[in-house]
Amino acid sequence: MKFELTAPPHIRVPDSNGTIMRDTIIALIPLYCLACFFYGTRVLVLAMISVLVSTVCDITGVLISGKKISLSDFSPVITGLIIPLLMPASVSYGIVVAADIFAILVAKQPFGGLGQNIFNPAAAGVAFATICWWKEIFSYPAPGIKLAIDSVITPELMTSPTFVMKLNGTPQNDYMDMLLGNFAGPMGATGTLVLISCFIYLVVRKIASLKISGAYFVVTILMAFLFPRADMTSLQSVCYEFMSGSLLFGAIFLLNDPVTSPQRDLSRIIYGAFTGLVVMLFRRFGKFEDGVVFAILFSNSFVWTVDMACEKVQRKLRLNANENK
Amino acid sequence: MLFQKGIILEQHKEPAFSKKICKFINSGSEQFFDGWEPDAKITVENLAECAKSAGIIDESDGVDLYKKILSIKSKGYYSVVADAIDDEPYTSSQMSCAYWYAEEMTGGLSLLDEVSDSKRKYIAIYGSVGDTDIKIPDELNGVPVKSISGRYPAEQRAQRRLRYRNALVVGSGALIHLYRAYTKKQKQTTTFITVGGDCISSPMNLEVSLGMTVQQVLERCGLKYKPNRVAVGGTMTGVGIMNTEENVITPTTCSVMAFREKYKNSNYVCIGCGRCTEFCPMGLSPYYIYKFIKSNHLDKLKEFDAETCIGCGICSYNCPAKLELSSVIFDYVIDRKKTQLKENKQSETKAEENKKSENKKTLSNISENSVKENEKNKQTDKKIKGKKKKR
Repeated sequence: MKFELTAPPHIRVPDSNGTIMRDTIIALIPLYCLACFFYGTRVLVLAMISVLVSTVCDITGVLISGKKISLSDFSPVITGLIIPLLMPASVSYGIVVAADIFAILVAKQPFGGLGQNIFNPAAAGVAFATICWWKEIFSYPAPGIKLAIDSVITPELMTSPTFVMKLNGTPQNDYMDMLLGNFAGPMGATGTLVLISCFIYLVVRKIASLKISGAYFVVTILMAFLFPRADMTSLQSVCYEFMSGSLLFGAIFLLNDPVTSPQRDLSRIIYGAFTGLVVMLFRRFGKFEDGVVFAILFSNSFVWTVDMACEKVQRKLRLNANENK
Repeated sequence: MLFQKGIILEQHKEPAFSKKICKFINSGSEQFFDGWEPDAKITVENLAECAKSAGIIDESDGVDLYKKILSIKSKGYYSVVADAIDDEPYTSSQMSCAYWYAEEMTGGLSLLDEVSDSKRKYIAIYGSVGDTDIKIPDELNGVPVKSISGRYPAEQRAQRRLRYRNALVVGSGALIHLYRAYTKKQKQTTTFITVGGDCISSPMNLEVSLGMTVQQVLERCGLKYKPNRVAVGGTMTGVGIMNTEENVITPTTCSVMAFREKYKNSNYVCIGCGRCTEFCPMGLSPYYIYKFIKSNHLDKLKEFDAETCIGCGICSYNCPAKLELSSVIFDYVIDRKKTQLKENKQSETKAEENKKSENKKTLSNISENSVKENEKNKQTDKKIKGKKKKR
């Protein structure tokens, strides 16, 4: 019998890039169900348009760079699914399309496509849309009212907890509503319980890293506890800061993007903690009411530096261990 | 903490381990040797000569057994250990040697124990095997069994530890052959292998004549499906072979594996998930090392200690992009070590030439003193050669 030459090891884990991306998509589906429940089928149309645009952009980018198209590469689908979730359900289709195009054709493909990009494409797309159309991005419709599928709609608007906190006020939302997602905010980032269950699924499937998200959560909660904005109690501050805006969503889906997160355990902890710090600083001193995507882009640019520094630390540890032996 | 990393692998030791070892030997291939007689009290030299004339090779590291025995004198080992640490999935050849041929194996071990005056002797068996039908006893034929547990790669970790504790580690198959050579004057013409994998209809441990082809061994155990890859020497670190009729069983072959799974070229790229770095038992960062080797930035590799790679294959095993991380890195490491050896040799030969030319000059100038100097130089030359051998 004759075979092709194969390199060891001869057994491999069943996981592949395809399964990792599939799992991420599975984790995003409950969020769409929740958004659909609160805002109607407009959400699904937004998702379809976004996925279509980002996939087409990605394929053109791949073809321009002269590579082969991989059918098991679902990364543009994930980007396309994440972008609308970080926007209000009433956002016009044009903004989502612009964010998609920016995400894929500016933040992803010019850097070399999948696996080479420095900045998270979805975060970059949303950041671009926020800078260009900040009024539309931060005006949230009231949940529970089904929206029309038209391109431009004028819904009944509500103030979000992040906006109230930006104005040094105390939000009056019910905690139960905030856990279930029944308050104004980005359409996928409000359902705290659903988000946490998605996070658990991703951690069990070893896609999300507890080190990154854990450090991020610890720092954000600590900051909110120690330095509450306005005249809230520390506990109120922790609850409102943690559950409002896209803080939780960013920690689960954007921060854990494998391409743009560091490798070593130590550097992952530093990365998560640093992002948490920057998020809270942006919320306090920034112009916008929520700056999670900006914070993530900001800390993305330090990943290489942090990783190299931790590599040196690791090298010292290795040398010490060898000497002791 | 740093060196306790690794992965838990499903062991698949059954049904091969619980079956008795079958003999699959060419008729009339048993050979005996003459010209060696056991002394009244065995000595290191006597046993080494026995091992040398039987031509025994240690299956765990491929070293001639007589060299290991001769090293007893210079190193004065603290303990003698029989190596039966099969931590790779499907492979159980050394473990079943120790279990089923316990008498011969412990006989060989006590021969080494007598010769080396060591303080301890024991059998090291891989313990983290959940699926075996047989429970490995605490004692085999009066010799204590020490269970080596832990995540893969337990064998490399244990060997490093044993070397540090000044132990003489000999594979259990080689011990059986040593015992046979000492008692029956029998040459090593067989070796112990595991035939396994998901294509084999009856996985088992075999005692096979050396020089038999892989095809014969596979046919002996039967094929359920047509395999897509056949590997020799272990599932994690073994070599894939191209032609089963040309590859033969050698003394260091510990397993023949046939697998059905075929890895298509799926056009995946690295997405930087970090699983290779997370599980690397040496604390390396295969993600960066692989990238630098592929992009030919070899000067940057110094900071990453790529030379310490042990080639365990965990990074490739875990890679969701199915990249050939471990083979690329380990090939680079081997290449690098070879070039380093060459450079060392070249520099040494240059140094020797320089000395010789100086010697000639002195010879022409002074005749009487030069003889003494020459002798001195010869002595230093010998020292250099000795160092080289050690390396």
